[in-house]
Amino acid sequence: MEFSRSPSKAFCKDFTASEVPSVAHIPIGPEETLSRFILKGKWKKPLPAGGIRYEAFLPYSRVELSVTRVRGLSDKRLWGAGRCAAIKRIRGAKPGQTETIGLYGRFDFNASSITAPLRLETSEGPGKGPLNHVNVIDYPPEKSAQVKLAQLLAETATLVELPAEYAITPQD
Amino acid sequence: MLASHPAFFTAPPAYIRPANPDVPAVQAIAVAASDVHPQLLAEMVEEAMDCASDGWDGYGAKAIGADAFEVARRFVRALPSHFPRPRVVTDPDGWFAFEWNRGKRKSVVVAVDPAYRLHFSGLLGTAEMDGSEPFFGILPESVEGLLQRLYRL
Repeated sequence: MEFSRSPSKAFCKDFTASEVPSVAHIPIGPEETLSRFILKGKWKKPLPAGGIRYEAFLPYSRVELSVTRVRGLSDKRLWGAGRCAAIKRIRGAKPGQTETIGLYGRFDFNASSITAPLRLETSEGPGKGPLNHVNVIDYPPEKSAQVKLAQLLAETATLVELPAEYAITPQD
Repeated sequence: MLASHPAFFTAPPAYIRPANPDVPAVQAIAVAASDVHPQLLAEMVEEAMDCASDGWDGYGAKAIGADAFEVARRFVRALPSHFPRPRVVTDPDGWFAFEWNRGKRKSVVVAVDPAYRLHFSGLLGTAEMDGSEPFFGILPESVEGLLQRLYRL
């Protein structure tokens, strides 16, 4: 799939901060839903014994996990956030990667799944992230502990399929 | 220094990353990776090719390098044949990891650090455990114990 690398009016048109009121000032409640967008197709494939692949929840590259707060967003706005994230990465992708990086769905989980030592940090605004963007932070430095936390998140998450109307096309 | 440990042998030239960075190291690796666990190695080659350049996951992951492949290959060779074949996972740190998963809260993951260290984590029913061990070419008892517990569940 070929994507234009020049700026496009369509780029992230469904998700601009000016169109949606921010909820950043409202504390994240334990029952709130957080979404991790699936940008790598193979992450979506269920495990043979059922369940979700833990690697979708490994923190990287700043040992943080990038997620989106669902609160206050319509379905269109939420998927727009995913489209925006995916298109940004497709445009920055190296040759050969554009076939495997995209928007394939999302994993939803409750904010209550984020337990100590982890914390949620709102990260939206200029130089931080798009509207409703949240980072899971304070991961322990040990790789084994990071893997365990990813396994635990995968246990609680559910797959939400990408509706066809939000699929990324070469015109985006 | 780990590299001088007698349990290690010198990697054959085919495993060394080519001087030309445009040539994926996995092409060189694939030729030599046919001695043990052919199906697992074939999956590793496929994954390494998919993750041969930085940013393969859309979130800035590091490329899988020749050193990561080689240490993971040694790990695979150290696996006892009585355990089921694990799932091959590529880690954003540019490493391989292996997962044995039997369903909800029954999984063991071992991430293979190219610096000859194994980072393992297990969800075994109500128990959770994680840790790391140096890897000398032989499966550490701690990892084997986790796998034994997983398959007793």
